[in-house]
Amino acid sequence: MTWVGMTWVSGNVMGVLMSWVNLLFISDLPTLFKSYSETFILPKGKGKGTNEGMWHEHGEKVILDYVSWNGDADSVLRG
Amino acid sequence: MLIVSCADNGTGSDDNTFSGDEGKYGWLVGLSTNQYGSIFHTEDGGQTWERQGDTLTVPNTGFTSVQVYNPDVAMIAGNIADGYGTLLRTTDGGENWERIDSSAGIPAGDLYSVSFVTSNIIWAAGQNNAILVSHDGGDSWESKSDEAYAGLDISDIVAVSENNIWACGGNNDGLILHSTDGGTTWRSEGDPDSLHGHTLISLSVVNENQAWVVGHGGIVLRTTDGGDTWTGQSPVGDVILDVNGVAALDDNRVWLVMDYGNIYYSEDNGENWTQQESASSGFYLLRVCAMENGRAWISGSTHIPPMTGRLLMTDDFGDTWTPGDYGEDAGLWDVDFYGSAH
Repeated sequence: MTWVGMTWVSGNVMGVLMSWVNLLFISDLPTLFKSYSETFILPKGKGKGTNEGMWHEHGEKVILDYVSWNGDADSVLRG
Repeated sequence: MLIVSCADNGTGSDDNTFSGDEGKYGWLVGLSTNQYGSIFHTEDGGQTWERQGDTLTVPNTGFTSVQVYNPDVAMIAGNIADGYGTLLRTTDGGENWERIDSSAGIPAGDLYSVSFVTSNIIWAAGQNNAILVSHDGGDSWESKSDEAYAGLDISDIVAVSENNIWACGGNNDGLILHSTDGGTTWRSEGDPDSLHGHTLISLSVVNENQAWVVGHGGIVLRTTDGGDTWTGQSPVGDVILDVNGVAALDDNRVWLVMDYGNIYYSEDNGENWTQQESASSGFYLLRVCAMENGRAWISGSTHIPPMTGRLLMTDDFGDTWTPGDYGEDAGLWDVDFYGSAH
């Protein structure tokens, strides 16, 4: 029972540790990437566009996989 | 046959006599680059272009519409800058562009369209139900909006004569407005069910009886009875693509330009359509203007930033469309030539 208990305790501790590491990794993301959202004008009758994505810390813009178009029927997917 | 344009719909003013210069003098307008809105001018039918204006005379905003009255006189409508909509005019072929000041009655919103009746009588329209008229060449403007349509955007306006004016727009549900009394009253035209879900973007008017209107979701409507009835004539049906521009040369010949490089041409008043090759699938094709001799021009823009422009030209009714070089790569939102249907 003791051995089993230690195994359970050990596994649980590892799980907590892994969660903590994950939290560290996730909490570190904002220092690597900074999200942005930019609105841009479109031709008349097409509303306004919003482009959302991430800036890499080294200045490289990483555009997420969509551009949304306010007031327009065609939401353009980009991969 | 005399081809008339939105710039002069056959009212025959003294200062717009056709002279052989038709199709030579034209302007392209579009997005701002280098801190001022784009205005390009040609005097040779589009073979060579020169950018006009500078940061001191031209506001830093996008220009939605240009109308050429004659080789010297033209007007540009554009988005809001410094708190009010943009109207620019030239009376010397673009050597100088003058912005109409807000104190002249310009509203605090984007302006989308301008239309000459004569060099003195000019209509303009735009965001939030803006419908304006000037009777003094643009020095002062008077609102002709009907409060019944408050909050709706007016995308395009065409003045056929001093009294007969069409406008279109709407926000999601399409709106066709028609006045036969100089803007004192407006009649809403078209079948609401057909217009549901289709913001309207552009008009082309052949005469007081025949007109075309196009817009979101592939909608193409035509009237041949002065707006009493509007019938669907779309070559593509109810699709995601927008029909952005239309130019009707006469009772039979009409062009449509659409999203993602699509061009359609009809020689039988929209009963049958031929798709024309543009090699411009990455562009919204936005406006088209055309001459009776088969010359036509299309302006366009990429649909995602950075927005670069596209100029297409043909001299054979669109059998071949050739990209034009206007010296820069700014997104192009409108094109008009003296004497063209637009």
